[in-house]
Amino acid sequence: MRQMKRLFKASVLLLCCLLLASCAPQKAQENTPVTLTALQYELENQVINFSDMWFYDQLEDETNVHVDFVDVKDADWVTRISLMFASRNYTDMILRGSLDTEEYGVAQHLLVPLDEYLEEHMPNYFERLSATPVGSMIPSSDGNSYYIGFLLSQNITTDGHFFINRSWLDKLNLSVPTTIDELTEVLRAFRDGDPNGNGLKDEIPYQATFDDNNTGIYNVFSAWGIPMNIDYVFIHDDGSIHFAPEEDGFRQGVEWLHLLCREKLLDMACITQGSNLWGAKVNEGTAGYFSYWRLSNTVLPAELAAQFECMLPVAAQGYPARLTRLSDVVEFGASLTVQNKNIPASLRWLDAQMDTETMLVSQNGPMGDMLSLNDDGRYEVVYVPETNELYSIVPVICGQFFAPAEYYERVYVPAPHREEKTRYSKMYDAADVLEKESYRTLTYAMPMTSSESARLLQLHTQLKTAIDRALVDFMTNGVTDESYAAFEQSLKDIGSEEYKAIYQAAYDRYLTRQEVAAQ
Amino acid sequence: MKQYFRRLRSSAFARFALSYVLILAIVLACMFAYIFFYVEREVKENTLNSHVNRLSRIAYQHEDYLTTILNSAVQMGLSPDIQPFEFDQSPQKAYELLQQMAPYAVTNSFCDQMFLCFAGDDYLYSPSSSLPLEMFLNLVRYEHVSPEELQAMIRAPGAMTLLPAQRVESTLIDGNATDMVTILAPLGASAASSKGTMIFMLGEHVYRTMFADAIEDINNTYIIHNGKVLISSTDLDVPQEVILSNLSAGSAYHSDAITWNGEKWYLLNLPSSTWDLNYVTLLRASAIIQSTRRSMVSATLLVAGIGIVGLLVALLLARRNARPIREIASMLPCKEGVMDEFSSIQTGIRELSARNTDLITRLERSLPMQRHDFVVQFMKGRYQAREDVVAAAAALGMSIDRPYYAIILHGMQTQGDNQPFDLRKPPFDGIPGTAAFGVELMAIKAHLYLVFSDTREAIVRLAEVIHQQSTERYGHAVVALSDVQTDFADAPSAYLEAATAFDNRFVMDDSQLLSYASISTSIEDILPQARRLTDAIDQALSLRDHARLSGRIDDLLNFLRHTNMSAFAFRLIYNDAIDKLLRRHAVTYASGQSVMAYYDIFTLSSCQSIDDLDQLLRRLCASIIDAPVADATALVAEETPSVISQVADYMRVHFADPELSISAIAEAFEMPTARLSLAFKDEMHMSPLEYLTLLRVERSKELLAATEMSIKEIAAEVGYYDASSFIRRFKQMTGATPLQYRRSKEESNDAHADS
Repeated sequence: MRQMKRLFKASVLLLCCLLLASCAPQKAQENTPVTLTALQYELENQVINFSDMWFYDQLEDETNVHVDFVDVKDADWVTRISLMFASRNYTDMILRGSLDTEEYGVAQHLLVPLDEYLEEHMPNYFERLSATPVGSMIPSSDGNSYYIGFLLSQNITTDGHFFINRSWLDKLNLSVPTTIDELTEVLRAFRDGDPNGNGLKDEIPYQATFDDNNTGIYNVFSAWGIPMNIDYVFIHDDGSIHFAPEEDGFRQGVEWLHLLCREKLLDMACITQGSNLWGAKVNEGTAGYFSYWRLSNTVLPAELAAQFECMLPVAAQGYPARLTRLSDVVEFGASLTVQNKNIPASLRWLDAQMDTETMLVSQNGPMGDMLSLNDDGRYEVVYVPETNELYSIVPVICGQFFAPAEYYERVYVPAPHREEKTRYSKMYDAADVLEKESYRTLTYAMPMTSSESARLLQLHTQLKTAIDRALVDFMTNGVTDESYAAFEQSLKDIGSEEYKAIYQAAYDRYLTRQEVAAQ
Repeated sequence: MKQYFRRLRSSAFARFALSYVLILAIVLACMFAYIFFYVEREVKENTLNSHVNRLSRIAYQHEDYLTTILNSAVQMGLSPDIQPFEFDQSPQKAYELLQQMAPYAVTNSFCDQMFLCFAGDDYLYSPSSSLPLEMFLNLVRYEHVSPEELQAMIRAPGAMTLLPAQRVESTLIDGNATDMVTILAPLGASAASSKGTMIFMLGEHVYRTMFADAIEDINNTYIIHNGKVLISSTDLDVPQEVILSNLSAGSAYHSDAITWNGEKWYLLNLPSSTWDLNYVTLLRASAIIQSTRRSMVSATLLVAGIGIVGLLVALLLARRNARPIREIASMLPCKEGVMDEFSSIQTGIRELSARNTDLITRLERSLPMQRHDFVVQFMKGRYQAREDVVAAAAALGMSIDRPYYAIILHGMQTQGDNQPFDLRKPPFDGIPGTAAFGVELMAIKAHLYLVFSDTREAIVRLAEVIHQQSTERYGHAVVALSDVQTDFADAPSAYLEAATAFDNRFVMDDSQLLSYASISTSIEDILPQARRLTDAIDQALSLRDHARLSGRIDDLLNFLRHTNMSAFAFRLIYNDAIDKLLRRHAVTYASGQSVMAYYDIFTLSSCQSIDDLDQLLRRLCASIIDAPVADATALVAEETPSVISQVADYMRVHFADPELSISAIAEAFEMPTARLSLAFKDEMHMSPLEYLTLLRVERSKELLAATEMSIKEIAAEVGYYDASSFIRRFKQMTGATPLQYRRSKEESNDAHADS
């Protein structure tokens, strides 16, 4: 009986507590602990369990939101996303990586439209988003925003810059080439002049990889005014979409590549070698010319890097140099699935990461040891681990980040190696050797319908194979009228016109929307 | 102390506790026995089995990898799209080769690196890159294989070669340096027909994942190839040589116990059936023993815990079970000297049982009496509600809750068995839906059966069966049946109906069932005709015509025989007839002395049936018709009003007074009550009470017929305190209730009016 009384008293007490809790103000509900699940994108070389990361523990203390992470490696990301939506068993959030918001948001309605929540629940993000034009990239074709953007604007406008071995030039008493012909001559001199002085004819004047804009030979076409990129389309100055292999200078560019191969001015292995091997070869001290992201803090040892200097892209006669431009693009940051029953709490947790100091810590490491606030009120990197150690401390680029250029410059002092890259970018921009509008506008800024995306992917695969095969063939065997005509025809047969037209239509829609937004 | 043990032994609690604890001890002993005899062996077997299962899983996964690698090498070697070339001669083919290798890279995604080298070519190709062999040898440094040895293996492909795990340094490999298992396979179906060599490099992490499992035991795991450790995972500091030297041959799984460094070890060896591989696990024997002991200690603690809980539960149960026994023992009469609670209960129960048996016997003996009382009480209408009646009957084992009931009176026999029929036995039990209870009514020398039934017909049928059985058994039967009733409150009426019918046994044909329903309800319907027939006899007497007289007497008797009338009506009629004949002819004929003998009360009261009347009437008529004319004065003298006549007159004046009683009349006429009654009966041939009732009933008849007074008002008007007494008397006298009488008069009046 006594136990019964105790039980009864305890029940009454519990009931009172529950009643009081239900009468508590709204603020108390905001602090109610919430547990969410998240599919978290993870780089291939990361071996960190996000659930155990110090950074997120601190975030949980701050927001009262606990997140159970499901870590997914880059290689598995797309498959896991597809499986998750197919299985109808969604996590509450999807963090970083990429997501087809047109398909899962517009077409399948599996993502939460976020516009109405942002101002109230994500004040940090909303303020920065409203202050940058790139925010217009986020809304999907139905006008809704299905994701929180990721923006890391560092005033970088170029992918690969051209570098030439200054010590070799000096040794051979040559100046930095400005035209394609001068460059050809310089390369020949490198090949024949034993500039590394080892008595061997082991110099490889131009060391490159194949199909990219960093170390790849795609950058060669900039000399003929073609900002060749991996999508093969670019936005002409007049606003029309151009297909790079159909440009006038493309054949001349190919023929020049054949000349380099024939005269062994270019490492023929560029058609098959990867970036690791490229780095190994450059480090052998046999290369005199290449394109690359920057010199410091790369695979190049400092003493070797010191021999090189950045040069502007050369131009062929009658053509302006046009290299691909990188632009600030808003990447995928986070989405909430329709299974999420705690939308305000989720957004609160995301916005907490957008707080300036928290955001910079998430990129650079904790305050004190790795980041500090200097006298002019800007955050400054104190120490950068040489290896990937940083990824075990903070999420770096796998976390949430939204920093438009102006804002980022105001709050952050970039590391020296990043300043180097910015310097090159400004140099190229000033020389007007970059395309006016970045080709990345076509892939990041313009919402495509699901069918358009699927068709583009199909066409791109076939076109890339045809172009790359033709490039290898032309570089090896040279170009004839017949072979080039056959190449052009093959591209048309695959559907290059349709490919271009899809981009053109999407770009036109994008421009119209921009105009409406401006009004 | 001795007394203490004696008390303990006699305690119910001690007995229960001892029993439960004994059972618990047996169960625990069995569990302990199981632990000691089987757990050790089972724990060891389970431990070894779990490791064997783990080895099997590792073997399956590892050989699946090897098979995939070998198949890839064979398929690429046989592919027409992958043909040998020299990079310097055909760099374009290098690009195509990379495209061809891409699908194999997916198939062999568990490999960190995959390279192809054509015989006679100086390049290696991976799915994403190409590099000169010389550069490969410079960039990729093996810890235990020199570049020359590696080049020789690549250049001269033999059978599949597995290089044991070793540190490999290379800028081409993520992380720069890692432990790798390298597998070299000929590019083609066989070494002889190979086009070159395939190189597959599996990082240590692949094996680390493979070796990872849920077994927490500290152990060493080895994959042994060609007498060398291909790769291992080591927790125990035991040199590989010890393992290799103690590895016994065999094609199937076997475990060996080895001794090294003064300690005993278990070596589990799972040879591969398809590859020259052995999957081996080394376990410290002491760990298994320790594990066994841990299990035994855990199991023992568990059993001990169960034992303690069980003991507490046993004591609790013993206490709970002993308490009511103790209470029962204390409630029962405890004989001196009986210490044991169970014995006390046993003795007490025996005693109670004996008492109970006695009680039951006495109760059973008194049951018929109680039933008799119930029937009497029922007939007197002493129960307030139907539920009370049913409950009282049920308490006596009588099931009477049925819609219909009636009362049957069965006349007792003067000789032989006078017990009432047992209606529960054949042939009476063959009538379904009836319940009947019989009692003796010594006052009227009849058995009374109170019959309850589901149907009216069943009651009549039962009465007929009683009549039939009585006739068969005794040669004669008088069985009277009341009307079938539904309301238990009408039980007194039902009895009166049965009694009335029973009384009519003298004036009705008692060879049939005497049913109250067949009795004429009004004397007025009979009396005029009887008087007319009496007048006819009177005329015959006056004419002194014997033949005519006999005929007229027959007429009267036949009329009476064929009229169902009450005994009371019969008496009034024959009294009326005798009185009339005597008054007329006693004066005329001087035979008064003999004729007046018929006024003798005993003579008249002996006339109880029509046959009696037949004899009496014929003797009277014979006396009158044969007697000489007498002096009338003798009779005139007799007509002087007597005291009784004065009493009768007094009663006629005061009958409506409810206070009027025989004792009050006797007091008024200064006579003892008993003498007055006898004198009255002598003179009036009925008791004063009967006369008073007659006066009241006759007056009530007038009121019923002529007024609209209620029954209650009429009852008060004619001298009854309560209506029920009036109704009973009225029905007893007339055979009908007052209301029935009033209705019959109304119907009669209506009929006259119509006619």
